Amino acid sequence: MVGNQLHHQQLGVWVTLQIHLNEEFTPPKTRDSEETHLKVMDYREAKAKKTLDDDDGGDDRISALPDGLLCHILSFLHTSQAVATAILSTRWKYLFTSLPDFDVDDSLLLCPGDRIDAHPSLKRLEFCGYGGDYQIVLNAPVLEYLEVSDCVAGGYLVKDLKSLVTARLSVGLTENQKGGDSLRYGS
Amino acid sequence: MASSIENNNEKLTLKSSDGEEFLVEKHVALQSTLLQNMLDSDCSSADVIPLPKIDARTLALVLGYCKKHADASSSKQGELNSFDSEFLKDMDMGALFNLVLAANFMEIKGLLDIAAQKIADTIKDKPHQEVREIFHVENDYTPEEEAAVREENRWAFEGFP
Repeated sequence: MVGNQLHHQQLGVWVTLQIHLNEEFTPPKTRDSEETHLKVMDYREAKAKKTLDDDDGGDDRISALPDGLLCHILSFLHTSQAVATAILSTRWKYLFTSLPDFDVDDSLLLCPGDRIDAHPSLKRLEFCGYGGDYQIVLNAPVLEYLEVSDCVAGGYLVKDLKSLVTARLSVGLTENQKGGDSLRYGS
Repeated sequence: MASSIENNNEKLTLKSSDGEEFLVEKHVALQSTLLQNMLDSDCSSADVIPLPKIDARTLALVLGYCKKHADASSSKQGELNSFDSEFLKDMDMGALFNLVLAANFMEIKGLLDIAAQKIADTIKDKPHQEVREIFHVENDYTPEEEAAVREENRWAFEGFP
């Protein structure tokens, strides 16, 4: 019985809000907090209905999103996780290559001869905390920003850097490693 | 504060894909860059603006978000942040995708970002098979192709399930 009453009260709130949205109504400022509370109940009530009526029904909604929107979602993940989504399905294989930012840090464990073939739209790349006597080959034709910080590496070979605007190099070298690092521009 | 609301007291009508009409204060509608551009270009706020891609339930949620943020000058940022997290809390996936598409279409950056962040958080730190199951993504790679993708991006899979 109590449950029923509560249910009816919530329905009442939902109807009230519908009216507020549909008529010329400006709530007085003093009711702001109450309004907020009602809105939360509003969408919860609607959400409960949605799950019963028409759930996403097993559709792959995420893969159906436009590329730009999916990339925006991936941009909230760490770069390695965003890249790893390539494994989900063929739809995802090249999505990460359109990410505007690309962070590489020592958790990625780059290996000798590793090559980062960036998508033509890559504009920003950061390396940090990377160590090892390895050469990193980077191919990023429209890169505008490159940051290398606290890195010790055998060398970087960067190709096609015509549009680089900013490069910040802060390479953490020990005494006996000095001279070993270099940033080279490939042909 | 009261005077700024009076100054923006114009209203416009939005029509959802399922035919429901919403009368919205202009300063609330201006949270949407799409609507802002429409109003700037022809200023015919008396007309009904159809939003054929957005159903009534999603539009009600979007306008709830816009109203809260439009009135934010009287709110504290912390209050807005807690509103945002409460707004998306426990939302079902279908509703979340409708919301992210609506925010993208209507160009409401704040809403787009919190919805995209919410979806990203669902992917974060989960094994790929679990992500596929949550979002109903069908793995259409052959075993050989899947192994090749893993090998090409080996560095991204280090220490990752």
